[in-house]
Amino acid sequence: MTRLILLIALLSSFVSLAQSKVFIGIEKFPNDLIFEIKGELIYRVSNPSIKSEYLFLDQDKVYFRDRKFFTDVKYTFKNNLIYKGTSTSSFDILFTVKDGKVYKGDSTFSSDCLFTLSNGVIYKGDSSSAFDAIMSYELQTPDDLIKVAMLILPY
Amino acid sequence: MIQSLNTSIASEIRNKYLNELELHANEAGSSIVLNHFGEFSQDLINGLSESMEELMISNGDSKKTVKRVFSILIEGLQNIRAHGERDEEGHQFAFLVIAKTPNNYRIVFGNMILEKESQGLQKYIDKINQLGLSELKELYMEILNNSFFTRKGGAGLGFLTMRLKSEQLLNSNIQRLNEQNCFFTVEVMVNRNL
Repeated sequence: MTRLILLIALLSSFVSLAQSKVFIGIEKFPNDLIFEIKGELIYRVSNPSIKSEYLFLDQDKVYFRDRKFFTDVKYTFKNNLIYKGTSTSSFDILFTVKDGKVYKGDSTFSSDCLFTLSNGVIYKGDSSSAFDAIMSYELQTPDDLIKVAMLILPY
Repeated sequence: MIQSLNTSIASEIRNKYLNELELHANEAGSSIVLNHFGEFSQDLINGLSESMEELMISNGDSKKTVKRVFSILIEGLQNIRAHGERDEEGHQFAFLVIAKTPNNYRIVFGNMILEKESQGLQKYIDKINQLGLSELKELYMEILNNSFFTRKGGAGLGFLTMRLKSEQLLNSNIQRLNEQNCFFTVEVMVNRNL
């Protein structure tokens, strides 16, 4: 019985450790870690021992920190489109996410591509050149990719 | 190229490059591992970065050190290409000197800048030299977010990355060339034993 409890505790500690990570640069050194995504909560990591709640995701709404008032909604994400605040009006489309690329407004033109997420690296613009690499990420689940994109969007 | 070097600015920049080479050559225990004076095309940047990576691996440097130097090199050379000023003949003269000691790599980038931008640049480097890790990360995100909508894009991110990757202060110097232009050098140290 004790062994079973220990095993469960051990397994749950692995589950709680499972998180997606975003780093400055491409080397993924511990000091370069800037965001940790754990389920619906996203933490900003100041240094390896200090982290604070940064964003909270509730279905299609993205909130600042863990607040859930509608005034705290930063983005609404629906059908590959990111809207300002709680709006889903076409006038309030801020960004479009398509095939690992994030575009300005509702455009999908290469010249409007803000950044590209590909194979664990975030590149500036519509590029996959090492010279345009700005950040990197490790995904726990493919669904976290959109969360990574939202983290580096201008606001 | 020879004709361009006859211009006063080009030869002055070349002299600064030669002084930098001499400085490292005369320093005990220091040896030059990579150096270039002239313009930096994208192909040259690719070649220099790859050569440096191979050289460091053959020197037995750790993967971590190789990655640090590679990042700094890319940022510094991209900075030169994106923000380096051109001489009166349109040449973007700049230099790179990398010296090795038993404990460090010392990477020096030099390029021309506008005199009117020199004060702002020096202030910015002084500022990031004073910031701690968490503040550097915060500033990185701030500049990154702002840069998505600016023309040149990401100005200053390169220096921030150099500071973050080297974990040491950036040593910069600005000297006036003429009324419009200054010459800017930044030296980045990377500890080989980290």
